[in-house]
Amino acid sequence: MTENIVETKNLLSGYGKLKVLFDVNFKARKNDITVVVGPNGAGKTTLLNSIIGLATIHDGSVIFDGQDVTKVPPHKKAKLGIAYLMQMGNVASTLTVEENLRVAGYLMPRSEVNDRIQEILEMFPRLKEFVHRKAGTLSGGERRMLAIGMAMMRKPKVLMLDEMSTDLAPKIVKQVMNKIVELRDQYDLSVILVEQNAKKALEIGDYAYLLVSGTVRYEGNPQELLTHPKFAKLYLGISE
Amino acid sequence: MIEIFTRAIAYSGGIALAAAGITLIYMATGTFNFAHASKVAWGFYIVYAMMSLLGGSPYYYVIPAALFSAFLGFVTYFFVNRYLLKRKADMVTLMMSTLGVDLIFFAFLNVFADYLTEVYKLSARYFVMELKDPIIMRMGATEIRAVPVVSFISVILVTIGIYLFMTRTNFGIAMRTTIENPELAQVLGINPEKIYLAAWLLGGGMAGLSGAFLSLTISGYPSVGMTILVTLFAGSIVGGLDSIIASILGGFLIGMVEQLGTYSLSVALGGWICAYRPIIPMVAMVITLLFFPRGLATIDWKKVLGKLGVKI
Ligand SMILES: Nc1ncnc2c1ncn2[C@@H]1O[C@H](COP(=O)(O)OP(=O)(O)OP(=O)(O)O)[C@@H](O)[C@H]1O
Ligand SMILES: [Mg+2]
Repeated sequence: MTENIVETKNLLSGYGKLKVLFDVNFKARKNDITVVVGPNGAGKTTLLNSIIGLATIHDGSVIFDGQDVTKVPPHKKAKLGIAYLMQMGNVASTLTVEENLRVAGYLMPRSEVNDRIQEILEMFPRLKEFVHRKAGTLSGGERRMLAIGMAMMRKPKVLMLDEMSTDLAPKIVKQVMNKIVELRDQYDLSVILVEQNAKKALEIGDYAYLLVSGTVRYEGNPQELLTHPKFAKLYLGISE
Repeated sequence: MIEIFTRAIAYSGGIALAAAGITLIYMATGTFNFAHASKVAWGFYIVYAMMSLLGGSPYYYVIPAALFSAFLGFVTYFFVNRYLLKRKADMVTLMMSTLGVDLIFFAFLNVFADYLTEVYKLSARYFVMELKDPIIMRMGATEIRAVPVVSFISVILVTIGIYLFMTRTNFGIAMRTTIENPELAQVLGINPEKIYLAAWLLGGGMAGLSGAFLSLTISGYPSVGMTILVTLFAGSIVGGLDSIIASILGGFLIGMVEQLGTYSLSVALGGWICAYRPIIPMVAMVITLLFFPRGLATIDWKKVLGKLGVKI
């Protein structure tokens, strides 16, 4: 038993020759909600892409549940139990809502898929009206709901959520955040939450990272970051 | 006249199947596949060789022809395309590599034809199998053979089959996801290599099927695939390159235009026109694209039919 479900060691990564992250040591403890915040272009998405295997890793390593998975391709990481809600391109727009949910359950036993789709649709009643519509015709918020639903189809060990609250009404954001806490409490789920909406995320987080220009500028208690005299104002625009 | 028409149907069915294969492989892997030419030609030769050596109806060997060309699809993917996709090669590199593969398959086909000629004394460098196709109907002096019917029914079945596969099976939905967004597909646990391989196998199989039906319609020789490649590409492009069903329709239309157009022009202007036959699908392609720049797939059929007074 290792304490950390996901870990990066001295990670140097980017896209092709481009380097974005420098010497990042990141740890997400089991059953924790680990929050990653930082300004635009800081490398938050790149951190998640490096963990799943969509970025180029120049140096360092990625550890999942005690195993070195640096070179494991994304589809196998999915099989190991990582679900990832990408910031962009997170639904297939030529597929219907139902087909998107179905393909998100690609790794699940067939008998469970239909029940799970129903559960997701209960969670987002708005989607229920559109099950047979192409995802490309949904509004920004509806699309985001679908993407969240897709990330939650399986019962993963780690749920990585990149800017899931973008486009969503505050009421829905609150509801989804509550759902995430509930799922985490219900079973052994660990969550890595990347958020622009730093305040809300830091409030439910157990541990926090502040990324700036590809390096870790702060790690520790989220409350502390939220009230940090310098960082909160400088990078997160939290003033009170 | 009826014979001209039925022959056009048989020919167009074959073209439609092969054009669909080109589109499928292009959609899944971004590779515009020149090697389709020799995969179709191998379809001709599998039917010809097996029927000459083992006897029986040519239709016994349609499935073996499809399987063999599917195997050629596997070879293309496994030894060439796979590595280029991993290196994220651009479209031109992908396309040119298939030209190389085509020449290799073509070389082996020549060896095979010579082998059949030398060892079994067959006239394998040029053959006509139309007469081996059973006659299913006589209308006065006109004989109707089986291949127009079989080819047309196969096109319908393949169309329905592809539609059901793509919309009703998990693997088909996974394939569509990968085609649209490979990164999303991988994150959801889909192995893109499996999808690419499936596209090459299916696309190759359709090329073999096409070759088998065409072998009963037109004469066979090693470079027959290259002769019809222009028509195949025209069909695929007219279909819009982003819908397999549309490429079947595109292939069928281009095939009909080529057959009936060549016939009418040769009646009107004389037989010399037949030498310019490949120009016809090209002209048809240009005209279609002038009106529908993105191919048949993007036409709003409901609107078109509505204008014609048909309600659906
Ligand atoms: N696919 C890509 N190819 C090349 N460069 C990229 C790619 N994605 C991101 N980058 C670059 O990497 C840097 C970090 O981007 P990243 O998406 O990780 O930032 P982020 O912290 O998620 O920002 P945001 O808050 O805007 O989502 C940026 O400078 C960006 O231009
Ligand atoms: Mg980002």
